Amino acid sequence: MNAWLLAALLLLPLGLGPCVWVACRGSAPQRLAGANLATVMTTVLFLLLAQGFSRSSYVDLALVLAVLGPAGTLVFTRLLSPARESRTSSPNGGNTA
Amino acid sequence: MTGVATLNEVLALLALLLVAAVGTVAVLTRDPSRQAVVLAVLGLGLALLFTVLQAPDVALSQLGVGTAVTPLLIMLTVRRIRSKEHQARQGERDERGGPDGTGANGRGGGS
Amino acid sequence: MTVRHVLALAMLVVATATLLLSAGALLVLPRPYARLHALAPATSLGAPLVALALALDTGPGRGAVKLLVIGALLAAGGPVTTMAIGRVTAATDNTHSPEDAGT
Repeated sequence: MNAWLLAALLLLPLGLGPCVWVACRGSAPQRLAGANLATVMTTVLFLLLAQGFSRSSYVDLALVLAVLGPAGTLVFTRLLSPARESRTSSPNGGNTA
Repeated sequence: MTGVATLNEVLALLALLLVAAVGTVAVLTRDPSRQAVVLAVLGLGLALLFTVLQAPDVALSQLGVGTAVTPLLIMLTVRRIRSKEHQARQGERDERGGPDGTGANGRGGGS
Repeated sequence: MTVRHVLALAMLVVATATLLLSAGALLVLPRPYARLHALAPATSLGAPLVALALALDTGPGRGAVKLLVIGALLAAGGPVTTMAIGRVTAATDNTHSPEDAGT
């Protein structure tokens, strides 16, 4: 039973630490790789904690994050792309003003 | 029993250190679009801390707010401000080059 | 029962090693496109393997099905987000040659 918590204890600093390090350096699109891997790591950690604490209701957290994580990353990529912004802002420049 | 308790405490300490480090970085980051990425990671760390502290309902709400809503709002705001700045700069350029493009100048003045 | 648990533990060890390798690769690889390759083993091998190991440990039932659904969601979301991040990096870094940056 404690093997799951042990794996979580190993993955929390050694797996999530590099993701945070990458997510805190460089330009915004370069940080997204670290943030994306951080969501995957956190989902795995939720699963391991649910099994380690033997609370099956904690699995819902992992389910929510598995749905919301890629959605959040896609939101970031949609709003960070400069080509799309210039393409949509130039026709909108006449419309919204 | 005590082994589980100490393991739990070590997990809580690690999550707390993670939240402290990411929070400091989020404060020290200046560019809002980069800060949004750091805030998303901070939301993940907070959800993890709440889970280790046996509060999964708080972690669930933090997950929904921190992962999806906060970055969306920040990025939408940044994009809106940037497009307005871009528009204003383009209007200035049109006014400076006035004799060349009279049609663009008139439309820029109308806005 | 014991065979199943030993199998689950072995899969957990392999999955943890894969995730740690992926995190180390993210830290070591210097270029942004090389960093995207570090996401692949974690999302398509490590995370579903953890879900599979947990489902194997839980035994048949609704909980195992939920864990397998989570693993499938993680495996499906990985390539999509990696592709989106690569596209944004290409659009941000060098806008003049996107087909050269895509490789």
